[in-house]
Amino acid sequence: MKAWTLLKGWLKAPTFSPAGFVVRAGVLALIYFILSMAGFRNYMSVLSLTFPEGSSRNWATFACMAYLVSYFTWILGVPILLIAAVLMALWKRGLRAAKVTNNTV
Amino acid sequence: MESRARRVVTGCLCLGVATLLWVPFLRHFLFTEHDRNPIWTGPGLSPYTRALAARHLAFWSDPAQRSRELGDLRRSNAEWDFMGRTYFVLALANMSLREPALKTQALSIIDYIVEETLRLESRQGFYHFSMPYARNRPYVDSPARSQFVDSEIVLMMGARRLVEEKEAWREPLRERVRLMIERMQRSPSLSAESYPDECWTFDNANALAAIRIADVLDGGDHRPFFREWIEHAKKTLIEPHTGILVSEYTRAGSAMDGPEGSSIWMVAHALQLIDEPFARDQYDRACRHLRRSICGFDVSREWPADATGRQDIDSGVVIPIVEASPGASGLALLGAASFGDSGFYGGLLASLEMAAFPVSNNGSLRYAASNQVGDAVLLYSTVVGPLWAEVKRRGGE
Repeated sequence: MKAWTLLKGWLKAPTFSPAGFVVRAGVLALIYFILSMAGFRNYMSVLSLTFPEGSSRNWATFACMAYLVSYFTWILGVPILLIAAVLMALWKRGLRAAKVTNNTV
Repeated sequence: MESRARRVVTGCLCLGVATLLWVPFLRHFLFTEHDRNPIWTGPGLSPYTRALAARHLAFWSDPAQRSRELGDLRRSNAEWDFMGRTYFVLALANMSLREPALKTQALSIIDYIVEETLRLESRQGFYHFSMPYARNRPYVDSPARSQFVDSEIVLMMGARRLVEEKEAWREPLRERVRLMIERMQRSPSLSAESYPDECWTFDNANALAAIRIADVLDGGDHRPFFREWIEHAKKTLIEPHTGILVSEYTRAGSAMDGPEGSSIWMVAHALQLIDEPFARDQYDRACRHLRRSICGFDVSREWPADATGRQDIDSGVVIPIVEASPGASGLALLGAASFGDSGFYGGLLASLEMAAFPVSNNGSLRYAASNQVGDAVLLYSTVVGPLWAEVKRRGGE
């Protein structure tokens, strides 16, 4: 129950927040894994203009482009979002610490 | 409570810093498997070569897989079916010279591939391996022949005979070489057509390399013709801005296209057997005008930066912004390996690992973004060297 409450809190977190970044990284990772499990990687031969047998050119092109975008968000977008989440959390913690120090003084 | 605007600004700043932290080091975090020894200098074959070769051995020993993949390939471009054979045969010949224990198996596959190719050519003509427009109008030189098909058949037969003599192919090879030379010598551009009134530098450079191989095998000497061809090419086939050979021209010698990455890397490799300094110069110029290095990843453009061409079957889908051409980048691997350029080769391999989608299965390796011909070029690039060295040794260089 506590975990569910925590998850709900994260899902509702604003986009520009550490939790928001982590949630979006998770969604992008999930999309990449779903497309990978669905065999979309096999459509990448479209990049060399070789269309797999048994699928229309339009579908093959769509599948190739969808996988291409999801792959690059996986290797670029996901790590960047996670690093940004850590940086933002550190930033907030630093600000809080500075406030506490100022109040004490 | 932090204001929304402040949160957005902080978030954007963090995203920017994260991008600066991740992107320049991406290659060093994720794509480092070829960094130590990009061009294999150890004995025999590298584990990488073995994994790539396993994919081709499966292709040539499994009729169902071959028919399925050849179907995909031929639907796109019948030329690729043929070129995949050539590059795999050249790879097998080099593999045999690197690891003699493989010779028996490699030669039996080479013989099977070449005999099947000759059978298809004799039944259906060279058109079987050409794109449909080969039939659209008559060839200028008659009877019609394809320099594309002739040159690569001679390369395959010659490579086989360099590894181990095959008497039955001596005469067929001699006859095909005779026809190629006759057609080249009676052409105003000293080049023979691959398509009606279309000569390709790629095919004619291959033809020169093939003739050179035939010379060392059968005792001919076409060095005066090679010199004449190179001098003529320097005068008429060089694009003035880059100094790189154009890729396509009419039989009379008028350029139909400028330099192309899908052509020049292989041309430089073939010309190593004809005029090494000129080949080296072409390679260096191609690096200057076509190579792109981005954060440790290397790719090849299809066209020089200030020239634009039309995307076609040779270039593949040109990736916007980075301007990477799959066709040109694949052949750049061969160029870089041929000229011992391990920096460029390593960068190209890193790009391949990142953007060509490797698929491993039971010890074999293929790239999902590639096809049979692309994978064969890659395999050839990992073993290239001993065959050309053997030609030079026998030629007394």
